[in-house]
Amino acid sequence: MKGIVWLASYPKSGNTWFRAFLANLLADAVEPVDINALGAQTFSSVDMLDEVVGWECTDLTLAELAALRLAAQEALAVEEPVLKVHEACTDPVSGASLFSPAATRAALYFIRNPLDVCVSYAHHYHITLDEAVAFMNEPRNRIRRKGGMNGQLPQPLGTWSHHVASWMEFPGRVLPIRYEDMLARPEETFLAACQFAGFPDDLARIRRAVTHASFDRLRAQEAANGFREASRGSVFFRSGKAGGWRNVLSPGQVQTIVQHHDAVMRRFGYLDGDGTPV
Amino acid sequence: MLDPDPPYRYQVYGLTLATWVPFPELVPAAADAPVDAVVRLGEVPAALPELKGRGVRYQAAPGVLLAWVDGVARYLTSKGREIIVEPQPGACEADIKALLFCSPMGALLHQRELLPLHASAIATERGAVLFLGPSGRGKSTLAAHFQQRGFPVLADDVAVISFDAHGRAMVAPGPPVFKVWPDSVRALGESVEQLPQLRTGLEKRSLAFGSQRAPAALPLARVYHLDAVQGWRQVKLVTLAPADQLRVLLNNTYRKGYVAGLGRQTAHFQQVGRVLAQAEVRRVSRPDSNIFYLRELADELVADFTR
Repeated sequence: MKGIVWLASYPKSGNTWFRAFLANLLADAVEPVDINALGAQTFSSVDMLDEVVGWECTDLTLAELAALRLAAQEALAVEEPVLKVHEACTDPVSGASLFSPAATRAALYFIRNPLDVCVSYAHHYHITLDEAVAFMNEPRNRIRRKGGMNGQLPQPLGTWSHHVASWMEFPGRVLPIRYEDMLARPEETFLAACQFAGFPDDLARIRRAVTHASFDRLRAQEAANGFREASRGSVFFRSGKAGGWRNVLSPGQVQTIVQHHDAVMRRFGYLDGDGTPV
Repeated sequence: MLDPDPPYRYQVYGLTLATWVPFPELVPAAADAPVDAVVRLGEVPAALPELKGRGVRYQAAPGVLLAWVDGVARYLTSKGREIIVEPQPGACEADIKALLFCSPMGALLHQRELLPLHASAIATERGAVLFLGPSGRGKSTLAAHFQQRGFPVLADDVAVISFDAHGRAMVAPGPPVFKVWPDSVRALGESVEQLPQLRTGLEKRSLAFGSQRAPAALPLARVYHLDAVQGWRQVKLVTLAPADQLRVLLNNTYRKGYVAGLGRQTAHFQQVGRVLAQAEVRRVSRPDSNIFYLRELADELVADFTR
């Protein structure tokens, strides 16, 4: 079956880890794949879109780009690409659909405890924890470099809750995958993802890919050769754990996140019945 | 009745272009220069009758390319001789003109069997040096920085290679305007507010080459492929294997997606081979930051291409 497999997530939620796993799964080689050659391009990459569109994206206005977005996905869907995306599924301001169900074979949606996301997000973007808390609750939040495009289209995120909810309401096939399950039960979780997306699902092969893409190995590769997707001056593969927020976030920061994202956190098991973080 | 012989003549990429409206930013051609290609207003079909290639905003067949941007214009480029422009209702003239020199011009160059590369180009004592790479890799910023160091500039964004009567690969001057992002404008010490937007609503600005413009075509000396790596702390020049050099030129051909649709795949491949027989492609990897490494990058490159 043709169509795009989306690797979708809010930033810092396990997307790159899954890409590393997938690259190793597809390579099925004795040695781990180079983290600087992971594949699974970002849909917002202008290099790829330029050729699909036939114009330079950087010569077009944001309105013109928005108008061709779904058609570009449908053009890409004649192949079977695997594309990484950080956009919310619907525009958090206008409500417009940002992803075409017709172009989609499957969407894997990676979700992580927003308390941990917050810590990682602050680190990645070189902002304070309070700023990260505020961004995660800002409907207009988007990945966008001002003053240049840096090879990527602006990517609307919206609030963390909007992001998750918008993907859960996607009319195409979507499977939510918890980062915490990838950590705690890798074989079972990665197997389910592969079966859903139509990737190779041979268990021995999955085991080897999980090992090749283990956090320690990814971090060792980054330390040795750098990682082209890291943000300026910071380490990308930093902690790779669940629950690290307990040592970092203040009670006030935890309370703010829980207040704003209560419903979605409960739905995915990040709060217990009393509303206490798990 | 459409004007059969447009009055304005310009010299672009070694071609004489006749147009129906003035383009003050372009270099005028002699009034009696033989016209190579004509740009005129006219009706453009909704679709091509027989397609060989298509994208979201273009259709291609041997000798013809239809490209459009909704709300601005539709452009039909034919046989390397003509671009017909059909403006859309309400479109602003600056947008119609700016987009003309993007994909429609790219198609014209391919149809004329030239090799347009996604590159900027400067003039050196050894000949033309190209900086190759997709949008956002700093090729404009680098060329503009070299201009500040006294190197005349041949082209920005698209550099075109042709072969002269002796088979030498030559690089002719393009439109003498940089297309630069605000970050780059600031890195060059210019004021963003004083430069015109490339199009209404675009952050990118246009910056004229000024007096440091290379007046004539030069033989190709060297090609550098710009690569930005996050987390790198130094500039590094790498010699590429022949197969990688070939891949770099194929991948960085301007509007490479048009090549198959225009029926030029074999010819394009041969052209790239001829270029590589005359000039080397090197990769220059730099930290992912235009601003802080511009001088170091330029120093390394000067040392390399004057060696």
